[in-house]
Amino acid sequence: MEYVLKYYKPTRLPLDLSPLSPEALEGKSAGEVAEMKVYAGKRMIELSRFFNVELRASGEDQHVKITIVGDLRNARRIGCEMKGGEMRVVGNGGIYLGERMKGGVITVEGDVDSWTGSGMRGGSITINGSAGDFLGASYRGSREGMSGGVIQVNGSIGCEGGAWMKGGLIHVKGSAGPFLGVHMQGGSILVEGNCPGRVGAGMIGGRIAVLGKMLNLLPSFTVDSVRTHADLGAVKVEGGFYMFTGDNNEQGQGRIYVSKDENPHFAWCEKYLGRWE
Amino acid sequence: MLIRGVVCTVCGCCCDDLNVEVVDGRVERVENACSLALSKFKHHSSDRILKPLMRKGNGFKEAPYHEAIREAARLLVDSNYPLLWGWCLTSCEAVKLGLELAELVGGVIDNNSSVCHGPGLIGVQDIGISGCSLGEVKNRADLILYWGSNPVNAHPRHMARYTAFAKGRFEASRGDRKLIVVDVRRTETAKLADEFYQIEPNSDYELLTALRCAVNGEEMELNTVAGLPVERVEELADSLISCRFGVLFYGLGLTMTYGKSRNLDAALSLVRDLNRKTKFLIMPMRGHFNVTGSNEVFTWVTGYPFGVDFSKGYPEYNPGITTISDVLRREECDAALIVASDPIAHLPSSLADTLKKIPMITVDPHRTPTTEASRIVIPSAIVGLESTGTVYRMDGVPLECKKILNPPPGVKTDFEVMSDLLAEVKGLLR
Amino acid sequence: MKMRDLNIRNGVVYDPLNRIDGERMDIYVRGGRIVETPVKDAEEINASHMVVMPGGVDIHSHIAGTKVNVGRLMRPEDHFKDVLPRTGIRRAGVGHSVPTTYVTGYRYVEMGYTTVFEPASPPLKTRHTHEELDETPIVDKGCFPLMGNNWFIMDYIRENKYEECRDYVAWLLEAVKGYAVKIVNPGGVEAWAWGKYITHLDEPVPRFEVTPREIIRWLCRINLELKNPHPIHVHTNNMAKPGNYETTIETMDSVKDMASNTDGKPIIHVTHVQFTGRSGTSWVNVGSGAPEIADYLNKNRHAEIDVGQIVFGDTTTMTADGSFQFLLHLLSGNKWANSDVEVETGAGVVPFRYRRGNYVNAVQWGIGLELALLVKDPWRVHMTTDHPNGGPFTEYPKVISWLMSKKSRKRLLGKINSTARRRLTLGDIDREYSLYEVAMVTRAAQARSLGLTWKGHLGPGADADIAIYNLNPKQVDPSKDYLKVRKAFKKAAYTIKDGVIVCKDGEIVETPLGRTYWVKPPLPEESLESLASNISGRFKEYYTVEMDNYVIDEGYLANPQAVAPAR
Repeated sequence: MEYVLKYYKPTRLPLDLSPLSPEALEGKSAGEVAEMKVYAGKRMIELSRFFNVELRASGEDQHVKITIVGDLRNARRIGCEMKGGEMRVVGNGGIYLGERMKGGVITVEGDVDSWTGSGMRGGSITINGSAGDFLGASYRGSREGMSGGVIQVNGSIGCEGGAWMKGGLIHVKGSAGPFLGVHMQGGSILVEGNCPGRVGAGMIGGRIAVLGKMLNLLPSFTVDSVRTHADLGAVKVEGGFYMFTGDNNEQGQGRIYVSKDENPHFAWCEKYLGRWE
Repeated sequence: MLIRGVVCTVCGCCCDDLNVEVVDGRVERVENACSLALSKFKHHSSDRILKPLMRKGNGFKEAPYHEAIREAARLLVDSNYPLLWGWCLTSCEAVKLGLELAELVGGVIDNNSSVCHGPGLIGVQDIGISGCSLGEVKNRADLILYWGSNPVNAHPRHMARYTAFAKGRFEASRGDRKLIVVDVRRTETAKLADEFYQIEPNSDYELLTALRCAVNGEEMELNTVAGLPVERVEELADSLISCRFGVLFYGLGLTMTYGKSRNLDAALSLVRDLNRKTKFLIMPMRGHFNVTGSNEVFTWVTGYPFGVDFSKGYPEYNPGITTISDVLRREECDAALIVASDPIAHLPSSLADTLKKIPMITVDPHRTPTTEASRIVIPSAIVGLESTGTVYRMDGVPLECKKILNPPPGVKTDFEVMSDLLAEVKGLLR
Repeated sequence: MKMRDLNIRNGVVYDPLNRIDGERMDIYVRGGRIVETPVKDAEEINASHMVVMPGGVDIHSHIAGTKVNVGRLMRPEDHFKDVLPRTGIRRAGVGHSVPTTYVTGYRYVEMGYTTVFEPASPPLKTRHTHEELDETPIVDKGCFPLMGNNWFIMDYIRENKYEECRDYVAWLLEAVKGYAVKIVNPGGVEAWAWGKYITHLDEPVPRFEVTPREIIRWLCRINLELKNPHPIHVHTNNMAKPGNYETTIETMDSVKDMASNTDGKPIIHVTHVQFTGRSGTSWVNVGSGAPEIADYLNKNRHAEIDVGQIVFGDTTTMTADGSFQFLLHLLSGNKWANSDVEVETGAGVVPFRYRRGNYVNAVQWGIGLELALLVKDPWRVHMTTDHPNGGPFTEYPKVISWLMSKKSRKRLLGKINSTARRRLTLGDIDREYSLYEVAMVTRAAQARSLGLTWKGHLGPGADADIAIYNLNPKQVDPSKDYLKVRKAFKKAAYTIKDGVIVCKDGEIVETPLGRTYWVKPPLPEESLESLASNISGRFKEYYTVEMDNYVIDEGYLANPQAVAPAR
């Protein structure tokens, strides 16, 4: 069954949509959903004030799907702590999308803001547009970064993507901002576009591949080898790569694969290869 | 009348040894004051607001105090997502009331750290901090490093009172101490240094990382870092390791350049790593005289040092979401209370324009671009001159300010204004 | 004016200071004090089948001041999981291991506690401690200024100037409005200011050439001469050493000869002894030194302790013992804050998780309980978790249930690291605390130790600080039904403060501001002036604030109550 929520009265106020999860809506009528209250700024307001709610049941289909139509750039926590089912945003998806998600599928046709998939544990998030900062990151002060699931962004992402990540996969088709994989502990990050640098800062584990240009490498990384493919565990990418390990200041066992063709400015590192022989 | 031991309320040094001579309700002379302090003591009476003002057309009309308070309370209570901003150029006592007010009106309360030293606080949340009070530096430090900070201009008495030129129990003179400066240009402080490292702008993170490598004995595969040859980096690391007691003071050169809170992540990590080799500490060069106090009060009341969102009735914190620049960028707030701050002058112009579109209540002693754009203006007394109050020095030492002058007639303290506003809001909410 | 007159009828009363052990009786309150006869027109509380005790008194809990706030700052990830929204009565806040000040007050009161002391405040920053205590609602409170690494004191010891030292201590207590003489890792925190360590009581402090033993003995003698209400409160050296119980015994023994001068009251309080109660030579073979320490305490009445029990789970360690905190950071790899304070002391904060499967943590868990169960005199072994070092104070009901129920201990013993289980003697201990003994170790003994003669009991004249728990001693066997014990102590049926019902069924209903107690040792005016002029030169040389600004006026505190020592 599918709940369709059309955002007919947009508001600039922060709209906390965390009460709307497939588990929470299951069994409710459209009218009951419309009466649900959410925080809009400091007041709790019925959903019906902002959304037209329709329920399209489909017989024996037990799978719960929620489709939200509109520009939800000021919304927070769509799909927060979701356990299963499906959510789709036809428009922009706001902040904290899929925070601490455990399962299920979220798709966003537009862009999302920061903290998408923060602390994610399972399930999948697909963003057709771009994402902001802290994709899949842990909350401030916490080391509980994303530990499972898949986030795919077809556009670009901001800075500090994958901060404190422990597991799972982040796949960015566009570019990434600086500090990609900062304090990474495990998991895999694949960026098909460019990244200015400071990749893997403070990394202790995990694997990152940048297929585009990476402008600089931190001094705490050392070159390991030239590879014919990037092995990120969750995914393998063919092609020539320089592989660096680090962050040496954290006794890190992290790996950064950088495309050889796109990064001729790293050719200097070849003189350090074979130094153990 | 000479009043001794006056606490200066300009920068985060909070020098408390000022002796002020007051004659006929005016400051005649100040001993031990730096140029910034002298300027405040002498010129505090210019551009004062003397009466509460309420917007009328393009200008203002004077309004009775209680009418201004009533209207301000109504604006905040009726709003859907108010912003309460400032809180650093005032006393802790006023900040406490501001926090209670934010809780009641369900708004976002944020203080100046979020555009200043906030990144350092964010760094502490990930890494921790090896810190100390300023007297420890005075008494023990044989190595002082200023990074991205220029105390000669911004904290004029810092070096004489607390660091390179101070006389301590175990390190008695300048000659006993090594002064190092790391900056992108040769500042006035750099000119006094024993060693000056001029680095490329926006490369602090790389240099801090390289220093950590050198300190931790990790090999580096680079010839230059941050525009310095690797040998110079290793030389700096050697100085840091071989001192007995080193202190790194940092300023906006780290907090507000490329990397921001990650720059501090690296600096805090470097100092932490250094503690395996020697004794090393780090301290932010806080700019305002009570921004530290504001952080302290915010933290013990809400758990968070700035950027606190009370819209759900409990404190929520996330810089980038619950901080002024971001709530304004997303145009979420529909009313604002500004206390002891001038955001119209200091924020990026697009954000200032957004702020001008919403009704503002400003509490300030002086006319500023912010008061000029406000709907309601309430004058207040200057903390440390015309009102007492608790303030916290950059190292967390609390001091009580003295009242040495009377405010202009009818002008109340921030504490009194906030008390009245709080009472009015409680009345409306009953 | 809130109702301060009550007749509490028919409760089962435990009041050890008045030797009342489970008697069914009434308690009468007039004008906020306990009185002997029923009060006309008073509010009636039917306490039938319920336990009635004096309000809880916590002698050692890190709730206010600079290092606590560093702990709060450092742990946003601890806060967001435990949020408290504002209500009509309560302010908002966050909880778990480093609660905000309002939440601290509310949660203590929900458990029936009415008095709490912050045990480690650096004098230079004690104004901060008082600011936080003033925003800690309901409970009465106070703080202990740190003195064990103080330059003036160490200089006086080296120069052998006893009278000046004594006067300085008296002056300092009054100057910062403190309650007791606190000593943390004597000499060791000064060594840590240089990044160094002290490892035994007779090791000279670098550049001061006095020893920890001398610091402890001098302050003990001074404290006795000043007749301060509470003994010296000592966190011993060597907290980071794997086997350190001998240091605890040596510390208690170091002042034994001074005991004959007193009236039988303990002259030294050693705190959170679980942390300094280990045997062994390395982290691989640590064991429990509790039997040896208990044996010493059973034979020597001049010393008392509080336990510092650990509770498995996530918490935040914070002490003035900066060197210990750094070592804990190295061992755990967790983030670390340090806060040294000129002339006086240091501090450190490190988040920490105690795990059942971890050998050392499991031994630590056993040590605390062994101490509580092997020391025979409940007057001298107070129940604490050294909040939040061993665990948040909200876990006290759990600890109480472990003391009262061998079954609950056995259950947890079955889940801890098996090597640790074999090393501990805890499994063989049958003793179970009675409600009377629980009342001693959670209120009566602590009040007595603090010298708060008007607290911790329900006799006429006492402050009407009362806790009523939904626990029927006739029907509930604490030994078997320990979960009911936990539930009862977690949310008091009634908490009464100065005769006002402040909490009902675990919900806060009133939020008066409690008192801040501080000790005013009598110092003649001439001594005060002479002292001030003696130290002013060195004060200016060592400190970075003016002496006049260092002193805290009594009027600065919101609700101060000076306590004069016994004469």
